[in-house]
Amino acid sequence: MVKKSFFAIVLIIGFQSVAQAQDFSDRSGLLKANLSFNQGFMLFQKSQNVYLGGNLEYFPSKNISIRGDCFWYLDSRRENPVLKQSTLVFFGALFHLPKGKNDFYTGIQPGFAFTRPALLSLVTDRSYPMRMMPSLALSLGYSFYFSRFCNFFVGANYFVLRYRGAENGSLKLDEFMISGGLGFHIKVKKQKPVN
Amino acid sequence: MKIISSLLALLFFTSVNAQPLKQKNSQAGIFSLGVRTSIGLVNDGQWQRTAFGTGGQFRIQFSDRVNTEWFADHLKADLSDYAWRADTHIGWSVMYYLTKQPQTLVRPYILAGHCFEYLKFTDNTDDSNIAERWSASVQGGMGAQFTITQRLDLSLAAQYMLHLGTKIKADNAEGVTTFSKSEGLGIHDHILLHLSINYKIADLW
Repeated sequence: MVKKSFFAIVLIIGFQSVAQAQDFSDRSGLLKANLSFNQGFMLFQKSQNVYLGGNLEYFPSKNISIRGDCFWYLDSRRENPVLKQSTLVFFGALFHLPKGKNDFYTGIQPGFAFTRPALLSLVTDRSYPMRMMPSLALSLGYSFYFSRFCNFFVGANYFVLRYRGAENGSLKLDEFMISGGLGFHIKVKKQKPVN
Repeated sequence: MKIISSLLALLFFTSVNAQPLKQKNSQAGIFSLGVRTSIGLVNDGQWQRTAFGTGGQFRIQFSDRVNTEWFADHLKADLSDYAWRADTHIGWSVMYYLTKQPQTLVRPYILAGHCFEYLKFTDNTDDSNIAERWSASVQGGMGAQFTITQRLDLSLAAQYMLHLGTKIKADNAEGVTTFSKSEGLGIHDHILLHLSINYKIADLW
């Protein structure tokens, strides 16, 4: 049953991909996904964090994409980490300037962070609890589409994030993050016939 | 099996939505989905600080000039340096566009509506020291819709929201935080600024 399902999916994806034209200058209908390590630099804390990040992106037109991102905090490069646990989830739209195989983009993604600082409470001498905090991601980046299924990308994000409920009022956890790597894409939109 | 169904649904959805939006007659019936980021400027007491939040909305348009927005958002803010507040709004607004042309770059609008709010105050040093309440609210304001493509727009709006419910006050004396709730109904208000991204999914009728 699982094998049959797997082959069915492969067949559908294969059909969708092969049926498209070779040209990627029009990216409408493109579905992208990637998984990468991300290096973060906290602006108001002494911490350089490493995240595992993944996203799923769809291009309804050649200049616009809709993207969901998720980042999982792995570790800090500093001896005394600021975060104990953190997961950030964002969803929004990106504006693209495609030219041939090159694509520059920028975007806005509102989201939420599920964050637990590693710092101890000065009053109770216990760690702070995990809390859900509203957040905002501003994105800037570049993709290079070197094949029908793969692309290279580099990107930078800025996250606006406050952890409420610390003794001093709130912890400013704003973070600048860079990432890069290999991404995958397929065209899921049927190509219109050329007259 | 569920995963396969979801994958097929995703492929079908993306194939459909890659096409330009097919409009049947007028702008009426256009259904959009979107996300928003919010800033709340609260007007109660010296201890209130600016709130920051995230939310989402869908829009159903009823005519060329009249749109409706159904939203939910969640904001958090400091109460001086000794407590914090969380506001959750769920409600709806009617938007009236001041220009008739739908595809102009900037489309200003006025809005008014109603919502419910859940408000919770929490002590920074003791999570069990809380005060909470539900309230009914009305809101009104104005905004502008920036057309990016036929399907996508950015909207920037400012609205005044007036809540009718039990009033909560926060105080801190000698390091001890106390919350007090007024008896009966009271009003409190704030100004909300929203930046939202909206994507037109379909023309329903």
